[in-house]
Amino acid sequence: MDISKQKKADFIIVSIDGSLDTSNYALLDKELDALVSSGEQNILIDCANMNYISSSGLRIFLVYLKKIKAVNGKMVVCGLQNMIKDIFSISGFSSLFTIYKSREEALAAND
Amino acid sequence: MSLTVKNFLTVPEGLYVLALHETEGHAQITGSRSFRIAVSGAILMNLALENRIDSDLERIIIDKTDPTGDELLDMALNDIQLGNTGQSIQYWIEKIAEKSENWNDMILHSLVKKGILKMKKKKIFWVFTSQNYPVTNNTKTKEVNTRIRELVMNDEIPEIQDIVITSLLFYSGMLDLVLSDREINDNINRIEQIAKMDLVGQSISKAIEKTMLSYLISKIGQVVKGGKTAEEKLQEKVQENMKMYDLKSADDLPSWLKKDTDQYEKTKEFVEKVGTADIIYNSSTDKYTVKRYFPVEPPFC
Repeated sequence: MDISKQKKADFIIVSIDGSLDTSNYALLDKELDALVSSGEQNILIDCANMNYISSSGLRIFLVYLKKIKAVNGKMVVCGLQNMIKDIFSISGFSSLFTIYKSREEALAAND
Repeated sequence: MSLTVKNFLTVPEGLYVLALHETEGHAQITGSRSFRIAVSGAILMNLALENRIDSDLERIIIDKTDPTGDELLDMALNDIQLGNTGQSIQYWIEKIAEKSENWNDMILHSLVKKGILKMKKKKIFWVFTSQNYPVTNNTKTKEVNTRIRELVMNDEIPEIQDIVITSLLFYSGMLDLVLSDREINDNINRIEQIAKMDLVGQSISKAIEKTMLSYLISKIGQVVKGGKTAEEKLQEKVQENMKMYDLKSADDLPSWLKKDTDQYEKTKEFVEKVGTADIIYNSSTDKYTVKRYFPVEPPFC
């Protein structure tokens, strides 16, 4: 899995490329922790190139949604592939997160 | 929260404490099939909390391999490590439950050692000796009750540990150990939302349904000999609900409990399938869930 970051408007866009699983969830944890610790309050997770997520990956999403909400920030996701969309729906995560089709849509909606 | 190795009690131990508190220490409850499945699920959930296993919709994956320091959890972890890779969560719930003979005493003794339970021996009819495990330290039970109640009655984002315990209790039909029937009915949407966030929890209900089905098949003879029909069980449920909500007429019942409606027929079918009318219906998702698979009353004193 590769993680890249980009600042756009009020958001930090975190793009995940590949599988988010047992072998690398700690890496995403570390990246998001660094962002939250440095005071970033609005995070957009771009999942367009993320093709797998395990429970530990979902857990990281949840932990940081809680942290970001605690500082009145926003954590939204975009670009979910169909399989990931199903996992979000089965696990009820789709009712917790605001999900956009693309990063453009997410940025426009939060402009 | 209080239910991890680091925080003194493991998830399976927490489940034992809740159940034994309800039965005033009568450990017979721990022998029921659905309870064994629930404890097995609790073991997997605890291993996930400790980052020893991970899962997806299909299977369990080994994460870290170093021992947790808890005898029971490490026994299960060892089995998973030695077992076939890529097996489903449900497979492991059932597999670990097969070893319940080994871990029942292990959990009870661990709780006695931790000062949560005490062991009381008692003579029945001057001949048989019965062992009782009354809860001596009630703090953890109260803590869990408060946390779950607060969580389901507001819309805050839950902590991972809260999801685990809510999911475990909901899918194993034991949520009424911490919430009243009315609290469950009135907050069923929120409860379901939290419970389904744990994939292991979701598999517990499948494993219990499977084991209950084989149990019911083996009990068919008793039903033929005069056990209650689904209709009779459901009518008892109707009376309970009328009393709970102080309803004057059956017309005020929700459609799933109102006779001569299509929804009532669906309810009856579900009661027939699961063998109990101790169920909850969520009208938003059109889903039935079993609230209680087994009685928790002390069998005799």
